[in-house]
Amino acid sequence: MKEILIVEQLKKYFPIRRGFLNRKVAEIKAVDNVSFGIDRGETFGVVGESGSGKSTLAYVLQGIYKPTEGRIVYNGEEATHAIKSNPKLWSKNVQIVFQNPGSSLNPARNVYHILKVPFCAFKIARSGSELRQRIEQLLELVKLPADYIYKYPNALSGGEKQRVAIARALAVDPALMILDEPTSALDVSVQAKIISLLSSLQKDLRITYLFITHDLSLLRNVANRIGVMYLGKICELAPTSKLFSDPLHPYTKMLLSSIPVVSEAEEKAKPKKLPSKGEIPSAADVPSGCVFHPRCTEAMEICFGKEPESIHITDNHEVRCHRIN
Amino acid sequence: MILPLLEVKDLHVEFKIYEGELKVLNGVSITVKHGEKVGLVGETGCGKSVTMQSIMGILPCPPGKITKGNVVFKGQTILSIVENEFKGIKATGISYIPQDPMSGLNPVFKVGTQVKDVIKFNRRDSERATGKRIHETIMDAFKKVKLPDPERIAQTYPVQLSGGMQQRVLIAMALVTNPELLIADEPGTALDVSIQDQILGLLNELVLKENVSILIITHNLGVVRTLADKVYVMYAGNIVEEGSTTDLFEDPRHPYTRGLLASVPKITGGGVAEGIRGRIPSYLNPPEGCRFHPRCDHAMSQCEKERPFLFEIEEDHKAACFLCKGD
Repeated sequence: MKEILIVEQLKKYFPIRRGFLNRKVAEIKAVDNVSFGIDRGETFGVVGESGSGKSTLAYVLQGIYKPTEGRIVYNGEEATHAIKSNPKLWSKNVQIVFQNPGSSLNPARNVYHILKVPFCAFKIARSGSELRQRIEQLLELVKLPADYIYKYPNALSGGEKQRVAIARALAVDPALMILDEPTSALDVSVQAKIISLLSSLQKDLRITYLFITHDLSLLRNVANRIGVMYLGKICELAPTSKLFSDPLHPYTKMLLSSIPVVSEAEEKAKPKKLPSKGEIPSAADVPSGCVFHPRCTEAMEICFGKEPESIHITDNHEVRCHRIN
Repeated sequence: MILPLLEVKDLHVEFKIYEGELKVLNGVSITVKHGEKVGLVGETGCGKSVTMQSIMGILPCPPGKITKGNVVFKGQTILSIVENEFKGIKATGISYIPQDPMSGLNPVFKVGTQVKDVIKFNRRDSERATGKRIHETIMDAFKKVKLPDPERIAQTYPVQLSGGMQQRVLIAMALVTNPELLIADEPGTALDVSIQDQILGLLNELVLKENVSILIITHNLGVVRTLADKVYVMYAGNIVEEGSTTDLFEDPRHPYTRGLLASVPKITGGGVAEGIRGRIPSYLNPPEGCRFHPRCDHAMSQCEKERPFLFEIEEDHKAACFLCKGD
């Protein structure tokens, strides 16, 4: 089995309820018909602007939200029901590292108590001494000194907090880790350190990563394949080098051309400057046809009425755009 | 010789706290000329915001204290001016665009009202603005920042606007007093890249059209490269390198600038560098000599004792590093 996780036609709709009877008047299609597979040991990147549904996707795969529709296959076995009925058990396979380590760590608990939780929840450690030993191992794994065990989160820097959050996710020895913007709250030099830690962990422990971020240049350096999300849909999915050398969807091109870069060589690698226009609309009021057409510089008549299907250009390059037919 | 618009000269700022004195700014000098776009870049905790607050005169004192140095705006010292004069000179000459659009606007007032308040507060006594004229000024400002349908926008509350539009309102708010200097704190970094791109384009256009200078304070090197003509790199309360954007990005000299540039993930790939080892020092007890030496791979014995001042490498390119001395 090559793929560790296959997602098919995944949907997550949030109802909007109004009025005295609390009737459902509309839906927010946060994740709409998303399909992809993640190979074992790879880093799969998901990129998109805020409001594109990438965090909702992470929460659904983690079991925090229940999927509205669709299938999730884990290790070749149907897992949709397992996620819905017992998210706690599911979290033994899939762990998540949240965006802001400042708010994902309990400020009233020290590092020992924070890292104790997963061991207790899954009854992994049998005795107190074993527990302590395991926690010290975890700290070593994320390259923090052992005396950090009694420190409180407010005594740690942003990078150190994120290391603790990564250690907590590693406690149950997950096969898949969801990284939801793990470095967006950090400075670049700290980000570089966290990224190199993550890639050495991936090598040593053979973890698969689902890396969610809005930073395309970061994904260029960490991901094997990238899915570009816009308004709940994956509009382009390709291997990293392919996506950067030959972006096909206008949205991908727009994102790539608006990255502020730091050298002349990079400036040349960017696609031709597309005027970025408009902003991402509310997910409650999705445009008709192709969801990107109001912002698209290459929109045709067909884009207003008909939603494009996902087309396979090559084996592993998918695009949702009428232009590509 | 034409006077520069803004000159920060050898600014030292200390903060008095229970544990002792935090020596935050350690001799910061910045020059902004007319019509120039200057970037001040550095990581969290390097003193960017304290520098900005000192220029704006909003440094909380106490605990802050300016122990040495001066800020000169159009030939006039503005550190010591009293509240009343401050309103006349600074409030109309310098405008500030805050970082986070959401917290920069008051959620319970309509944006039009908030812009109006800025005009009313800052108007010079000689020009008594009528309601109609104020309204025209607001509409003008909204059109300048390309807000669609300005009449309607003025009647909305901040939550009804998207992040990009809020940022535009804040820029409009900064423009209504016809300032000569705009200080933009992390412009667009709270927004997505495509919107950030629009905001940077807008700022660039305003500098050309409105004849303002701009001081951009950010941690994002890419943003600085896109927008600024001249860059100051800050580390632990010191300016460690300054130069024109092309010089500095093509040929960085200070080890910190190099480390910082290497840490930025590139869209050409090639993996992410290791980053800079260690962390920013405590200001309570900053390292002697060069404040960067404990983290520097090229540190010499001289660096531990003596503080490097800015050495000139070529015209308009200076670095505070002994490696660049005699170059």
